[in-house]
Amino acid sequence: MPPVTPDIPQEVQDRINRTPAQRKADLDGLRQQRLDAMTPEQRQAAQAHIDRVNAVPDDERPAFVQVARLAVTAKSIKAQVDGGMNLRAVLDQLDAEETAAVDWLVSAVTAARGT
Amino acid sequence: MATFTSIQTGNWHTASTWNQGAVPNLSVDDVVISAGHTVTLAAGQYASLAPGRFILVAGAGTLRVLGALDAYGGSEIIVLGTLTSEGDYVYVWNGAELTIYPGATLSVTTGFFLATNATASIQGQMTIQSSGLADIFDYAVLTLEVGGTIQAYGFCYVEWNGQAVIRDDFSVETGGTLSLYDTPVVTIELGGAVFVYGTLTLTSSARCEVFGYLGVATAGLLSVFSTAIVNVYKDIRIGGRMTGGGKIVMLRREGRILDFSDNPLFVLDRAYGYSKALAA
Repeated sequence: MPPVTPDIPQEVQDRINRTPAQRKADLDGLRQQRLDAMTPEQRQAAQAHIDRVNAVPDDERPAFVQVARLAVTAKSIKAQVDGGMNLRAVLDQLDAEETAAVDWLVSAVTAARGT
Repeated sequence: MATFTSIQTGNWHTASTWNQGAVPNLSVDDVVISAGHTVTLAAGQYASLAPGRFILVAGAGTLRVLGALDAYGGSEIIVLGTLTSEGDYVYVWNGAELTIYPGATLSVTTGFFLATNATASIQGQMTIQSSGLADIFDYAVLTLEVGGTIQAYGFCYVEWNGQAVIRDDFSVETGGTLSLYDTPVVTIELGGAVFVYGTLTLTSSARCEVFGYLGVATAGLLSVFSTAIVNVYKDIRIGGRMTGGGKIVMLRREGRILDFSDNPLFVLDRAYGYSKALAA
């Protein structure tokens, strides 16, 4: 017997009380909707992303995830620089700790690429 | 100061898109995207929503951000239709609010950032596409309300004191990642559920409070690294792989460790006392 909580709407109660199997079925429906809305190229790109993530060893995943975040940040900065942003002026606004972190990253990436 | 309402589908920076016959100035103007209209903030274009201003996307209306949109403290983005981040980013920060109402959609193909005391209430559908990144950080709080759903096919970060409160279904899909880093807290409330078909990673003093459902599917990966902790108040389902040296703490003796199909992985016999009986 699922718990009944007073003073909340019945539809909310129903949603809270769904079983894991019902929730999984709901998710399957959403996945199918997304798949149906995708072009073949989008499906291919999504599968490529899955393959790329799965190729990373388990213990390297956290670092990979953070580097992927860096890549998105880099794209965003590039778009703004391409739009005329003065990168030097923005970098000058970082404090000493932030500047040291960015400098380390730049040198570490350069060194890693050089090996 | 005026409210600009779309009168047709078109570009944000095109005057004929708006009832005022001009382009809105988000420092002083509010914006309504009407039902049935798609307004596009084109690549290379940027809009910044000032304190006290709002953008309302009506039901069946769509705002496509191919450039960049940021919402600053005290401003509000209200979505009853569809909001897409497909270009540079959508950035909600410094106390700004984003609400995705029931039936509404937030689709993140590129970047979505919720930062610095900003809040987001997801009552509809949020999808982080495989190329997308959603980042909740610096005391920002994302709440997945009852009736809402989040599906992460790409990367979702909760970090640097960010918080997420889960009251309905959050699925980390195959190829997707939910990463908790540097003192964030994710709370899965009773009635909330996190299904991990991809990767769930906790590092650097990350904390996950599990009052509701946390399940790692057979193909999923749960990484809890040192100083990170998962507090389980009821049950946890682990059908996939686990790595890391952090802690999963079962806080109640009635708590169970199950596989993803709800079969018991361990039976704790006499959890209190001298018995060493631990039957797999």
